[in-house]
This record gives sequence, C-alpha cells and structure tokens, in this order.
Amino acid sequence: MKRVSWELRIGLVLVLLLLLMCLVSFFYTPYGTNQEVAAKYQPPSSTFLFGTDNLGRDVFSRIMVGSQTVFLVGFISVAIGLVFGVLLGSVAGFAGKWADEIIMRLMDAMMSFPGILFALMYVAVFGFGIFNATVALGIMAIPKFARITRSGFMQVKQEPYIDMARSVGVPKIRIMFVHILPNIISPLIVAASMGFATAILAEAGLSYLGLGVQPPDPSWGRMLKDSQNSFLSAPHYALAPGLMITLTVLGFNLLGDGIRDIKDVK
Amino acid sequence: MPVYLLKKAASLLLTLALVAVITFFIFEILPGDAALLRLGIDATDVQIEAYRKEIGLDRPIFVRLGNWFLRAFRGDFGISNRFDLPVIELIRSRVAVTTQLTVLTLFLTVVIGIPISLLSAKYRGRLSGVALGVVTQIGMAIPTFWLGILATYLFGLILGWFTPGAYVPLSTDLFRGLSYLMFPALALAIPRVAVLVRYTRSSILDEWGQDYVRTGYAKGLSTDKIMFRHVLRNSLIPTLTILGMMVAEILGGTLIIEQIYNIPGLGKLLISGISARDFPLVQGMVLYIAFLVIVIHVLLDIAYKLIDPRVNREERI
Repeated sequence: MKRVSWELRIGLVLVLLLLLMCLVSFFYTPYGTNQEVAAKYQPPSSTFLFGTDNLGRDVFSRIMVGSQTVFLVGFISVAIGLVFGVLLGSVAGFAGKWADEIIMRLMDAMMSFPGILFALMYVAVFGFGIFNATVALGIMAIPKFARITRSGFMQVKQEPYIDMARSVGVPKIRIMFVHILPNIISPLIVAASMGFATAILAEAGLSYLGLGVQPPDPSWGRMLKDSQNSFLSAPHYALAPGLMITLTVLGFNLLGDGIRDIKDVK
Repeated sequence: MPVYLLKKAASLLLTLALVAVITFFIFEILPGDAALLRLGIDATDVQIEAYRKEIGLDRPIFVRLGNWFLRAFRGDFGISNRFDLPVIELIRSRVAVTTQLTVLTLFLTVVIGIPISLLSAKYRGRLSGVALGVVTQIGMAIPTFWLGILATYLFGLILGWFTPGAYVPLSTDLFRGLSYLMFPALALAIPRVAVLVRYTRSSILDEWGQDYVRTGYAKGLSTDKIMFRHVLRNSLIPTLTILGMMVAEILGGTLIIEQIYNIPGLGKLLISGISARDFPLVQGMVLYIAFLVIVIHVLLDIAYKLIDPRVNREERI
C-alpha cells in the first residue's frame, strides 16, 4: 500500500496550480505585462489583484508571466544537470577505479563552490541574461545527480542479474541503460524535484542582483529588487513575488519529499 | 590516524588544485584582451604589447597556468582593474566584516535551532509537532533575500529597531554594530534553522530508539535527564557535519544579503566587481572564497572524526 503523505498532497496541489497559472499566462493575462495601466504603486484592489508596480504595470500579470521564466529555467537547468549528471555518474559507478576517481574529484571540486558563487563567476565571464544563468545553474546541478547515479550504480552492479546479463554477453552500454538505470530512477526523481526548487531560488537570487533575467522581462527575483526602493509607499509590491517564490519552492520541496516517502515505504 | 590525516591533506590539495584550474580556465575562455581591459581603449599598441609581456600573456597556456598557481599560492591574485589595488588587499579589508556576519549567523542558527529541534522531537506526532514541521518546511522555502527585505521593512521601517542601510562597524560601536548585524544574520539564519531542525530532529529520534535509552529508563532516569545527558550529545554529531555544509551556504547567502543591508563585506565587493567586469578581482575572490569553504569543510571533517571514534567509513557513498 502506498503512503500518500500530506507533503505529497500539498506539494502536488501547489505545483499543479503553478503549472496551471503558467500555462494560462501564455494565452491570457488580465493586463499586458509591459503596459502602464494605472498610477504607480497602487495597492491591491479588485481591478489589480496584486496592485501596480513602480512603472504602473499590473503586478499580477507580471507574476503570471514570471512563472514562465520560473518553469523554463527550472526545467532546463534540471534537465542539463540530469543528462550530464547521469552520464558522468553512470560511467563513474560502472567503469571502475580510475574513471571513478577522476570524475568524483571533479564533482567534489564543483561542489566546493558555495551557493551561487559558480553561477556568479559564470555570468561574470559569459554575460548576464536568462540563457547563461540557466546554463550556469544546470552545471551547478550536475554533481548532485552524478553522485546519486554513481551510488545507485555501485549498488545495483552487485546484483546477480547483472552478472547474468554480462555472462550472456549483453554489451556493457546496454546493461547500463536498460538494466541498471531504470532501477535507480526514484532517487533521481526526488533529487530532480528538489533541484528544481534550488534552481528557482538561485535564479531569483541572480535576478535580484540584476545578473539574471534582464528587464523588461518579468522575473520574480527582479521584481523583488524593484520593490525595495518603494518600501514605504508600496509595501505590497514586495509581498507578491516573494510569496510566489516561497510557494513554488515549497511546492517542489514537498513534492520531492512526498515522492521519497512513497518510495521508502515501498 | 597519521595516515588518515595525510590522505585528507592530499585530498584537500587535489580539490583545491582542481578548483583553481576551473577558475583559471573559465576566465581564459573570456573573449577580449586582458591588456585592453586593464589599460583602456585608448592604449597604444606599444603599451598593450608591453603590458602583455609584463603579465606573461604571450607565454603558452600551461606556463601561464603554472605561474598563476604559484602566484595564487603566495596570495598574489593580481591587481584589480577598477581599484588599482592588489586584489588580496581588497579582500583583506572586507574579510572581517563577512566573517562577523557569518559567525553571528551560525551562532543564531545553533541557538535557535537546537531548542526547536528538541521541541520538535518531543512533540512528535502531536499537533504542535506537526505544526512545527509545517513551519520548518516553509522556513526552508523562503528566499533569504526576501526575508532580508521583510526584516528591513518590519524591524527597520515600522518598528524602527535599526536604520536600514546604516551599517555600523563592530570596531566602532560593538553594541550598535551587533544590533545592526542581527537582522541580516536573522534573515540568513532562518532557512538554516529549518534545515538544522530537520536533521537534528531525525537524529534525535534515531537515538531514542537505541538500547541505551531503554537502559536509562530502567535505571530510573527521567526523560529530560536521558535527553540532556545522553541522547543530545550523540545526536549532535551528525549535526556537526551539517553545520559544515551550512557555513558554505551561509557564505553564499551573505553575497546577496550584503547588498540589501549595505554591508561592506566580501559579497558587496564581489558583486560590484562583476558589474564592473573587474576580472582579476572576481577571479581572485572566487578562488579565495572557494578555498575558504574547502578548508572549513576539511577541518570539520577532521573534527567529526575526532569526536566520534565509531566513524570509520569510506569518504564517499
């Protein structure tokens, strides 16, 4: 019997709601994201759900479109991390001593860069903007997935059915991807969900610093930065993007936890 | 033990070397001429050539890597394009502030986190325990810089407990300086507290299942006594490793928080360096910070091994 914890439920609900908002935003937003619709810094009202920002734009619409950035950055960076992480991890876990040493040393070095330091360095060199930020975050995610894949491989490698496959003559690559990999999917899924949350947080941070998504494209991190200047007059402006970031991160964290709980009890 | 230390030292050096290589090469890929960047667009060809010779840009790449290594080893990270000062001096002038912030944050994390972990373990299964769990989850999801902004708003503007942006160095006025740093430290600490509580709580609960706890009850010890005299000490051991990871996270967090609170630390310097495309500065700082984190990790690893003699496992798996 599977245990569906409250984490899984709430996480799923949050993520689905956000996904819904993101999809809807492609077709419809209450107002344009870049047009001045009213006076600046209007508080939330029935016409403007989250009020207006420093240029008189509707905050709610900008939040909706901002969610597109969130999912874009999240998915792509996790995808990059997964693909290369699994590749490296499977080679490290399967191929043996030397490959393992080298790859893991590299991963350790990567993980030694604290927080967003690597991403900062990357955008400093290659330029700001959403593309570079996403790639940087993707690279930062690689070591985590590599580790998980590697330890999974090293465990499954011992199983008797792998020996049997080898003795029958199944080529190594086939063994790796057809026999071993499907068995280690679950920790990877959990890590992917958590990784998504981490990526969003990091992207928000970069955008806050002005190094991520560039204006006038809406980004929740960027909106937080803009809200700082108008605290006294418009505190509501700071609430919306921060709240959205929190909810999104919360949703994916809970989702990851929930999936982990299911797999554990199994 | 000596063999272990030796292996650890070798491993440390290797990781440091790799980090340095990565940092070096990333800046190598940079399009654009370092000489032009330094001297400015108006520099004549002769000046450019002279400068290139001076910093050795005309040598093959591995020679340059080696030179850079040697210089970095001695602490020479080059000269900042923007400030015209040696990078290492700029770093030195800021390190103290960031260190103060980091230490304060760590302190807050432990002081707030441990009691909450205890409560969380004690009230497990009950309403307050579940509520605590929910709060923990939320705490982990909140972006640090948002907390920073909210704190500025709530404590600074509304309550007036401090003046936002008016940083007071600790050396000038300890009390006021601390009361200023308290708020960014708090913003940094809260997500860490959440993570700490998670780990420590499950560690405590694991320990409760151990035999010696039952022995304690059999001896007639009260729950509190068992907790404080035996369980807590053992459950804090894995917490120590988490603290090590947290130092890195906190350092990463200071990078952004310093911007919000106008604190003249490493973070602010780094960000302004990036905006100004001051590559020697950025390169030197990245290396410095990464080194710091690695060394702290290794030290904590060693401390962990010292405290818990049972631990004798492989480094990775």
